[in-house]
Amino acid sequence: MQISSPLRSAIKQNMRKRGYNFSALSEKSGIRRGSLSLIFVGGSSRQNPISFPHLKKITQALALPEDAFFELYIDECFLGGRPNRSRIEPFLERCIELGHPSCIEKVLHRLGGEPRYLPFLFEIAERKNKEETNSLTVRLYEYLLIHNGDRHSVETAICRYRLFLLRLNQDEENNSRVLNAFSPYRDNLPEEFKLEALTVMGGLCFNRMDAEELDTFANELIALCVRLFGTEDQAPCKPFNPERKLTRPAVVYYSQGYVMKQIALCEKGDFHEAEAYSQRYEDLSWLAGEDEDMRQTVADLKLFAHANRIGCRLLNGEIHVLPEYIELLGLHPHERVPGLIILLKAANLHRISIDEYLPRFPIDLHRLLDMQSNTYTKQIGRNRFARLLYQLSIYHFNRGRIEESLQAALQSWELSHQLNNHRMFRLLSSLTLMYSEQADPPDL
Amino acid sequence: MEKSFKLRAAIEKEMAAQGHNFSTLSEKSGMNRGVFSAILNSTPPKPISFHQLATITEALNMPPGWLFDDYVGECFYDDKPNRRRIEPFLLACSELGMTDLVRHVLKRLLEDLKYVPFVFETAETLFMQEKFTQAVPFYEIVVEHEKHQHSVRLSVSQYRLFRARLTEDGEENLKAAVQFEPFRAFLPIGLKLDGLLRLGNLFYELGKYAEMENLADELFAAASKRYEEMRDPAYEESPDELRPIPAKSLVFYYGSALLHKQLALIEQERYEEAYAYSERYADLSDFEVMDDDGREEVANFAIFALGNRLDLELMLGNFDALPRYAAYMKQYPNETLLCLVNLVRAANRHGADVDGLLSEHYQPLDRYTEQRPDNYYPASVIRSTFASLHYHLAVYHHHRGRREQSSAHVRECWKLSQELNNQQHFRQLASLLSLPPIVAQNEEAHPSE
Repeated sequence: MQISSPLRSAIKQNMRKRGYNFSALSEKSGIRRGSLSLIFVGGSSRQNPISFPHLKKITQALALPEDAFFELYIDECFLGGRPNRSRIEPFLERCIELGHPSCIEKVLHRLGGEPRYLPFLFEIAERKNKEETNSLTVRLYEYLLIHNGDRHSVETAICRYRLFLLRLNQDEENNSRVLNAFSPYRDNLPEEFKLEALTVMGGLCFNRMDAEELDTFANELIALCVRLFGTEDQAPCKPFNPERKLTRPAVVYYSQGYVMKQIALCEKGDFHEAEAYSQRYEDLSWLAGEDEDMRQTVADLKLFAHANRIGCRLLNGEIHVLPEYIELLGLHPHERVPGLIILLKAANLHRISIDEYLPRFPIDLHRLLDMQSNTYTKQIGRNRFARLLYQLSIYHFNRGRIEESLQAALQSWELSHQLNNHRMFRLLSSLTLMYSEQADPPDL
Repeated sequence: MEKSFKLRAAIEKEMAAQGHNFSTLSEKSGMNRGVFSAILNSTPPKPISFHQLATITEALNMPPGWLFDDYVGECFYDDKPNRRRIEPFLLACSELGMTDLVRHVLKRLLEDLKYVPFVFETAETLFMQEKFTQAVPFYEIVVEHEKHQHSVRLSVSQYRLFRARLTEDGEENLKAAVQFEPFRAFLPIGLKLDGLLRLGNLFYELGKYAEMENLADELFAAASKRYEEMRDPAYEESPDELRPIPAKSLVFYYGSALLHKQLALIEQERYEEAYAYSERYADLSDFEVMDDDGREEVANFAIFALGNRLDLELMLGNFDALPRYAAYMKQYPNETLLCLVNLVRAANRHGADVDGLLSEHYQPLDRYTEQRPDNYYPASVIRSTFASLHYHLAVYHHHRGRREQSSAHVRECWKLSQELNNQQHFRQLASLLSLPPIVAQNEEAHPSE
């Protein structure tokens, strides 16, 4: 049967335009003449398929943009009526890199969600996901989720996890939903991902000031870390050899669980109990090994644990630690926002003046955000800043400075709008009550 | 085996303490003496049926639930699950609120996935008896263990869990909704209609109007498709079709879809588009699938359509409609509360004075609920509507320079919002921060204070 191949016609047409014959094309593209004949000569039933690297070379030889024949190449992927993995795989990957949603859509449609093609699609998604965040890998993961029949497979859990991370953005309401949608499925994850998932989930709870959930995830992370990495005195039951590399070092996860726990307890007002948790991550040198970077991380954690201990004591009403806390704040500009929140909260709770210290710590959102390294920590920074302004508003109000108080409240309100953080609105609604009744706000 | 020993030892200990032997206990319980010796004395002892445990418990005057922890061993005698013992035991645990034990037994049972259908059926039985909370752990375990993403059992369980989880807490409700949403597509039609409607209601209360609008469209499509099917002369209702509780007539969903669409449009201030919708559900009397319940709903839709039409007039600034609105409120006292919200909102939008109607109709929440016990709106809707009313009244009085009244409404709104945990109200309250400051204004107005 003689079926004309639109792809071959298009290539030949472009050859004619440039005045190339097969020898010229062979020379320009570096593909041997014999291979070109097999591709172009004879009826379509006898023609060889065009491999993706060949397509690339031919396109280049014809001085066309790389994606010139992409739409036409889709048929080539299904030559003979069956999907061909060796062509589809490099093609899809390149489509993702160059951003060709329509080609991807067509290929996926023709694959029809058949189970035997899902594993290699999953591999592509995993490979490509390591690069830039990409709406096209989101599409792949969604496709895999819809068509993967087994809810409990590791692949399904990983797809959900990837989608969870890919869908997070600067809108806290979106983030809450994404978190809630993912949360019931965290158990099936491979452990190396679960460590990261729980850490990210903790950060999200922190943004929404959800102390209960933060506490839950903290407990899970702590238990997981102890199981995987053991404790100083006791090695884990079996050594942890993850299939994939950890996103962050073990020390970070290990300490993060305790930090989350400490914050959750502080949010609930159990300052005394919270204080005790500093000890748990104060010296993790047993976990760090000989690596120089890790030793530095452990040293940083030591300082961090100490500062948090003093912070808990301050919140608990031990006013005499105030000078020490102020000094720590001065030494660690990166921790300025959380430190100031604690300082203001303590001042509001215990009715003390910190007027003499405040001018030492100018509060500038943009400068503070510049210090944060990635979008994830920037988002935490913005949320913290909104809370800082909230506490500042109460502080000024208590000192009788209505003008400054209202200014901070409005700034917090505007920022909360940008963040779309509904827990912030809950706090701010208390400020409305504070102004309206000229009395203490009910939430401190 | 150790467990079964504990159970028997406990029974024998209690018998001894009360001075019973097999004969006296046999007499008291009406259970054959031979049975006692078989379940307690023979080696290995025969498993104790749940009925026997209950009989012994009663004869020994022990409280219900006695030795339940130890009975789990009998359910898995020789490490094999036994349904005849498990089923009544689970139901009894569930009845007594021993949820942890229920979970424990279910987890162990579902180590073999062939029991998923059994657990699901048990959950359904409980749910149909309106024991919603009791059914929850059963559905949860199905959700956890069901293997196939597209199974109807899974979607139905997710839907039931959504229903059972709906409370007064807006944030928890939203969480339940997010987890249910992906499963609505695979639901049997009766449950799908109900699920979509409840999602719509929820988003309305939480002030998520774009989502509400999408759901209204989806509900309308589903109800219309169902309508086509039911009008087909060849249509026959299948006897084992799953129905929501309470079962509603199709016209209710059909009309509600249009009503929701209109409300969502109004809230997004797309008044012109919204206006046309009143026509579409005001008179559904020629709907071809009808029963008594349906006729009642049709009558209600006529009332809603009229109210929303008047509301739209006010929102567009046509305050000539006020007398008609007043008459409407008098005629349909159940609608008064919603009318007041709309009235104050329209007044705030256009700077109108509605003091007269307010003093005639406004009353605080507790008095309102006292006087209208027959109200067809559920209490949660009333409370949430009151929260909105207080917010709009706070703005209204603020505009008119009545600081104290405004303050009082701020407090009421705040109190209700705390209870309802409704983000819409928090947002509204927080937005009052941006009004010209009440405090400063007050100081200017009364410099002597």
